[in-house]
Amino acid sequence: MEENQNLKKAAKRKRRKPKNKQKIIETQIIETESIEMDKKQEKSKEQVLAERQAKKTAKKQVQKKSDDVKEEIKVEQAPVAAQVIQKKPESPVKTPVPVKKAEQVQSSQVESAKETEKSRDQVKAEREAKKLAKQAGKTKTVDSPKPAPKQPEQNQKPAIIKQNSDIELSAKMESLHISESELAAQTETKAKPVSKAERRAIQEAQRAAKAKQQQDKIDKQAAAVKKTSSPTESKAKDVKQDQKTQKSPTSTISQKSSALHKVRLFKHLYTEKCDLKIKANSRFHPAIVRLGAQYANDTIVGSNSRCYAFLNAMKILIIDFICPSEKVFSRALETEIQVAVEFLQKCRPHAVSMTNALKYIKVLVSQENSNESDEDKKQRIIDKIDTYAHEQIETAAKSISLKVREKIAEDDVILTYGCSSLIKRSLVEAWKDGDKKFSVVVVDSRPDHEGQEMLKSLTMEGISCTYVLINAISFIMPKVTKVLLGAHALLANGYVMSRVGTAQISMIANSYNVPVLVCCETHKFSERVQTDSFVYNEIGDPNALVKNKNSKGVFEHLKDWESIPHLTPLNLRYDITPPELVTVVVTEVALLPCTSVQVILRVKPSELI
Amino acid sequence: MVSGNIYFTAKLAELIHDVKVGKIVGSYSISQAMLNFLLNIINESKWTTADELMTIVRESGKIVENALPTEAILANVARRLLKIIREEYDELNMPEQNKQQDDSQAASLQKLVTQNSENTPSKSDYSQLHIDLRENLINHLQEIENELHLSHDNLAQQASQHVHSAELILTLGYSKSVEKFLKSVPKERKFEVVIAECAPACRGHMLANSLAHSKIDSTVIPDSAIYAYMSRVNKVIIGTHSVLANGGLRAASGAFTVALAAKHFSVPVIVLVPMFKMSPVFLFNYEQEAFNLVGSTQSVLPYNTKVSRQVKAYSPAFDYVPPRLITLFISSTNGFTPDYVYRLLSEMYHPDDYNMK
Repeated sequence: MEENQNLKKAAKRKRRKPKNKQKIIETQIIETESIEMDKKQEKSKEQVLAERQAKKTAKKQVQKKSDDVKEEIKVEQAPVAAQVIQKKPESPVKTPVPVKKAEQVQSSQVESAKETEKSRDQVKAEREAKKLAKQAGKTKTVDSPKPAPKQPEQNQKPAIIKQNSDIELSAKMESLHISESELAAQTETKAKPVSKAERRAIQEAQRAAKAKQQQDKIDKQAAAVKKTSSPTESKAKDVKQDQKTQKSPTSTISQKSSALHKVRLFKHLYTEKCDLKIKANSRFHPAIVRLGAQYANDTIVGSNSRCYAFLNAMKILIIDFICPSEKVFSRALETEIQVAVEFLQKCRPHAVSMTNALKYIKVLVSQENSNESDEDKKQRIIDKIDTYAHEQIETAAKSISLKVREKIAEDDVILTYGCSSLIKRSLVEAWKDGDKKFSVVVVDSRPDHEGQEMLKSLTMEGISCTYVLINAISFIMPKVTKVLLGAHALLANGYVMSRVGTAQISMIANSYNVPVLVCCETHKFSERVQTDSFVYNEIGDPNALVKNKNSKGVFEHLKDWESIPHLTPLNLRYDITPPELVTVVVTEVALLPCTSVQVILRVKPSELI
Repeated sequence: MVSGNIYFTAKLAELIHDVKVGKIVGSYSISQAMLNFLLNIINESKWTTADELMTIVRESGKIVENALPTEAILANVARRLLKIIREEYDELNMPEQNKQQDDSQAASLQKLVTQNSENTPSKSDYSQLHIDLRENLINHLQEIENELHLSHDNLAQQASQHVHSAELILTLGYSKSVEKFLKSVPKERKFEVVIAECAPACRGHMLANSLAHSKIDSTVIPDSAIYAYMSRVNKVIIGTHSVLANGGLRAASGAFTVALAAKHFSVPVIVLVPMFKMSPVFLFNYEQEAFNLVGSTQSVLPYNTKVSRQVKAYSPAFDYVPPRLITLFISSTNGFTPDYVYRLLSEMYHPDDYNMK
């Protein structure tokens, strides 16, 4: 520990030294600039052109200076200024274009009042801040409260920051737009002793700016010119608003409270709810947006139907995809798909079945045959996707259904949980087959009550059913002869990832010596390994727990949870069942022990393509 | 009743009815009501000898046991009273000089080991007349009432011995003992509570709400997430409806899952039992029908749904938890293991009263 601290201290010291040096240099340059501006207020046209030259020299100076020792700086102050000033008139007027721009700049400047200027400064400052945020997360928090919006005195601070940072970069343009009064104010503030925090902010801005200076040089110049035109005002407003919200204490409070209702163990799983209204207007394909909404609202649930819907949306996306002429088809399509997939991920994390399907599609897209036309390529991919859907989901389900039928004996009492499409199908088909009579226990759980859906389908076929909630499982388990469960995914280490509660049922079945059969198509097998339900899981809407789906009401004691700081409902979606609690996994390939997942995973990809 | 007192029979019927329809809820209130009823009998019933009184009490005990087979607490209170009557009678009956000798004997370990059914002191017939008996009994019962009254507080006082800081405790449903227990953990020990809501009544919400108001971090999970959560839980602390003679529990439905999951992850299961919840009754896992109570399924599968006509639905109230899944009981005075339950029972009730018939 001590060593560590020492190291940190040393590092700090190292960092501090160059900072101080730089700071002095920067302030010095500000002064030179202000002098320069005082003198050359009228010669705007020439100045514009001179700037580039001046900027270069300034930059050189800075670099030089930073190498030099501190003491030199004060002495050299005057010469530097002189140099800059000298350089300016030297540069000849070459092209009319920049001049024009400069004029525009000026005119727009005249039109807009002082405030706009300031806000323009703020825009710049904001941009600076953003860059800083990129460089070091902390910098932003130090920086952002600085540019206070309205009072003129405070307004100078952002100006200072901007000036400092921009000086060596490009934005000599600014100097044109800064009115005299402002300039005066600026010099005033400089005379005043600057507070520690301010200084630090300035330093940080400088440091960040310097690190970026080379890459951004060109960008900035262009941006600076563009910015002066009409959008400035609106942007400035935005920025102002941004700053206000950043500053306001309410935002910090809301942040705090959002942290409050998160369970410590699951903090990594909470995701920001994607605002679909905004996304709907964006450039995503409508099919993707619709699918995203369906995922987010849980209209499409169950890994099979989610996978189906995903494949269909991908098909539509590919059909409607038009490759830009200058791009390679496969690359362009791949990025298109990637963007869509990222959007879907935001709506709801992908199911394993979807991830596998996506992997397959990506392989298809990347297999390029240059002789084919784009239309042929599309057709080929779509055909393959259709085959995938048919083989991996449809045919696999049929095969599993057959295998399950073999395992059902006369007078069996089969317990199942929730509503797995695969189990539903298997049971209904086994019943329709007609040679065996069995009954089903449907176990259900709050908050989703998916089992009621299962119950509907089974009773429709005339299967005799019993219905209990999951906490009554030990009451019903002695009567059960087999447990049949669906799965969300099978992990490479043999663990079964499924609807939360599955593990519990397997555990109790195990304690009553009832065999547990898990049905899972191989397209849901995952490379992922996991040993607990915490690392990778999904958190559903906590408000679902508050609602009483059966009585259509709410639970009194939970309904105000958002206003009670220490109360947190948690709605987990999945859990992990260890292989020792599962007797057998029924796949379309064979009846396997859980531990054979890895074998299938290794063999499978070569078969698929 | 032997005394032929219709008044008391009516009173008892009223008590049974109140418990049945849920007018009196919670073990504490039920036992309190029964105790008041018995006090009434002692005070106002026409009895002369201990034997007569015991017959009346036993009769009442039998009636409540038959009427409310799942509410063992009522009969437990009657058993307790029988034991007290015996004690008081013996004390009065014993010649003064014998008293001290007997006391020293009772405490002897040697006696404890060698004692068997043959050399136990001969049964007295309790037919002798003692004028002081009524008063002594009432005094003694006052003590019992106090004990009952303080049972939750006494339990809660031990909280600091069982909860350390930064602990993650899982509990199920709502239990007054658990609520008081968790609330009396010293404030400087920050711990979190996970509450399985215990559907369909979801009384767990009540506990969560109450704990959250006392600034204890409470997380409500559906009953399906018990297993998923258990791997990170440090301790399971639950209440129970009653403790059976073998050390097993008759607890809220879902308790078996909790206890089994805890066993699976080697998490200690602590059960809070105020003394009056100990019952000298044996029941077994496979006797669900005799042991359980099946509630209305309206909240499980609403009657107005189409499927409800063709489907059998159950809403059992209790779970049997075998003693092997329980790590520790905490009573009003101290902690003990399931193996020790039989001993406590024999101290609390007279073996002759285990069976009221």
